[in-house]
Amino acid sequence: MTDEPGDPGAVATAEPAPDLRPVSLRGAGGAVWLWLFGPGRQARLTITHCVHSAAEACFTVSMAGSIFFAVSPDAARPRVLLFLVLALAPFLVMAPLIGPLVDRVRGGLPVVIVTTFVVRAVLAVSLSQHLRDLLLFPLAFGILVVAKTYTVSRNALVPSVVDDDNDLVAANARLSRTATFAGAIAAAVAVALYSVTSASTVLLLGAAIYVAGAASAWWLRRVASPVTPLEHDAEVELVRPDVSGAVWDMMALRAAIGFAVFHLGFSLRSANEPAWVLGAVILANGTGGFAGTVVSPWMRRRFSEANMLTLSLVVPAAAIAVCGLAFGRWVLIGAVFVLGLSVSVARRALDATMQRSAPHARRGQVYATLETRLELVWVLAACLAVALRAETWVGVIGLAGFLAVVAVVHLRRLQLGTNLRPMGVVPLADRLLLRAEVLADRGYHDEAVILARAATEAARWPTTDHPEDPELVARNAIEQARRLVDEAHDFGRGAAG
Amino acid sequence: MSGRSRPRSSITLVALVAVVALTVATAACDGDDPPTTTEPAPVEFGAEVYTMVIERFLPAPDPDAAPVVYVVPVNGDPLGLDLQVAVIDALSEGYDVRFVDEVEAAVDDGSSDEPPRDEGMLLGLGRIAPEPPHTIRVERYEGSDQVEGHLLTLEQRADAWVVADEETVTPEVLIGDG
Repeated sequence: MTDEPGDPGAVATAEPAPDLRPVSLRGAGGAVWLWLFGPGRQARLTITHCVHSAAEACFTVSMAGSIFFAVSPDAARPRVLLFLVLALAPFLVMAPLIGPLVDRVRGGLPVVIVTTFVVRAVLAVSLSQHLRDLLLFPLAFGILVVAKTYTVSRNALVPSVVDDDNDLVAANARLSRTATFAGAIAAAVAVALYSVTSASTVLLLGAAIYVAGAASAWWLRRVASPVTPLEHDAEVELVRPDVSGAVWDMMALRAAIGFAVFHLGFSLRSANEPAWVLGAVILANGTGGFAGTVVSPWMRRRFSEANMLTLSLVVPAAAIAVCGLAFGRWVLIGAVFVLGLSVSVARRALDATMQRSAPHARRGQVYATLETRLELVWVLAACLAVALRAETWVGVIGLAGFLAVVAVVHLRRLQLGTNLRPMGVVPLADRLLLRAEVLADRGYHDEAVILARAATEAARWPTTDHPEDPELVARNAIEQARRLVDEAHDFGRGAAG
Repeated sequence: MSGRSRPRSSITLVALVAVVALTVATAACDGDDPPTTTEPAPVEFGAEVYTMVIERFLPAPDPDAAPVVYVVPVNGDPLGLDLQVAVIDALSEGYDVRFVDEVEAAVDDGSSDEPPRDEGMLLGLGRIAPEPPHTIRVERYEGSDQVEGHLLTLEQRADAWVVADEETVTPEVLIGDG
């Protein structure tokens, strides 16, 4: 079997990992290359993601020259809402179907990623001719939907290009960090180009970069492992309290970002704020995300993942509340920076949680479904922001309140009692094992040992054993056990006497 | 594994989607109810008529440095998105037309005479009355001491709508110092 790009068999061939470093950089510059792009197979994905980030920067800058900034925000609202709702549909469909669909596509996720680049290139070329008419809305939202599909696919692909399973957090952080660099450089070039030419030219540059992205993504087929089918273990892992809790926290933060982008976008437009303010807000979100990748390793050394998530909810809630009470340009930019940083830190915490507690769930369909869910809540929250037409400060205070409520729920979930709720979807033996793990994590080692042994016993039980009155059976069993324990205590005291 | 039930998180997500869809549908329906009157079908004025009205109050076009023209709704009834886009397109050769929702978005309140932003001008534009007489209110603002109001009456002659009458009125929305 060859490893050539055109060879279909190469799809499933993940090894050997090609060294993508330029020959001149295999000496001193090699460390910088590794820091930026990662080792072996990761480098190809990082490069592809950088190209995506650069093209998206061109797309964003080109919007400054679109009709959206000449029509009144209230008139544009229904159209934006319509296309956001239309954007929801693919994610509702994708959530249950993306895994099996990707499995059926020859080449899997890399081919999906190539397709997202090609479609966006076509849409961008078309959009460059319609920046000043009503086709702007379907074309721009088309690019948005496809970009979200790319994000889902790319995130789902990361585990399959990570050689060491314990490198997932670092790989995701590297992707985010390097793509921020690429996006910032491309944005600067795009702004310069826009100032001397036109928005259409910037968009055509973006289309060319999308084509380059498709070429780069094509080579991902060589390095990506095939997506693994849905496994029972993965499902069980996802309902672990710490994993499901981290997922819910991340969903809340993704929703916060989706709401903030559209609420603040419309607010700034309504106030006719200069373009640089909107640019500064976008930049603040990006630099916040970058800062998150820098501080996350430091935080991981000092805090548990759960505490990182706590901070990721509490700190932006406070910052956004301050922003709502003392609203101003610089306060807003600061709050968006904090929100971007928090989302980035939370993402690292989620990755770390999955890396530690859900080794099966971080691969294949489950991961793709999880990513789809994260994008879905982003769009849902964006819909709410556009539909509610709230005053700027009201929306900002509401956002702070939402994050505060999520933080409270998160803290309550951390309590052991909450963590030990019954989980009906999981077989008894697996439930006992999960509880044993939770107890072991919290230092109740003796109880964890007993529960683990009980899980072994439970695994031998027939699965059709459904007593007519489960509570009565449970009470009798507890009473019987209590008598045996008391007898054992009495025997122990008698032997000691 | 047989008999697997749907995870609770999925059910919650579906419920969330339903709530958002209801909210969105309610918001989308706001203000879109058709009129219940039994009067004759009102005249729908196209972008070319609004463009003709706006052009009466604009300075000479300058393709090299297109002046910025802010348009704000008078009496809280803005033009629809399609009309706005068509008007912007029709005037794009000589003007940079920008529709805004509020007067504050178009006025530089940091200057003493509060001129329109970007050294431009500000027009308050009403909707053309769908039943005769087809009147439309236009207010022109170039600073807190330069505000004027106009009430135009339109008539259809041959195939075109023209301004048959114009009277000066007291500005109601773009109120300056005077």
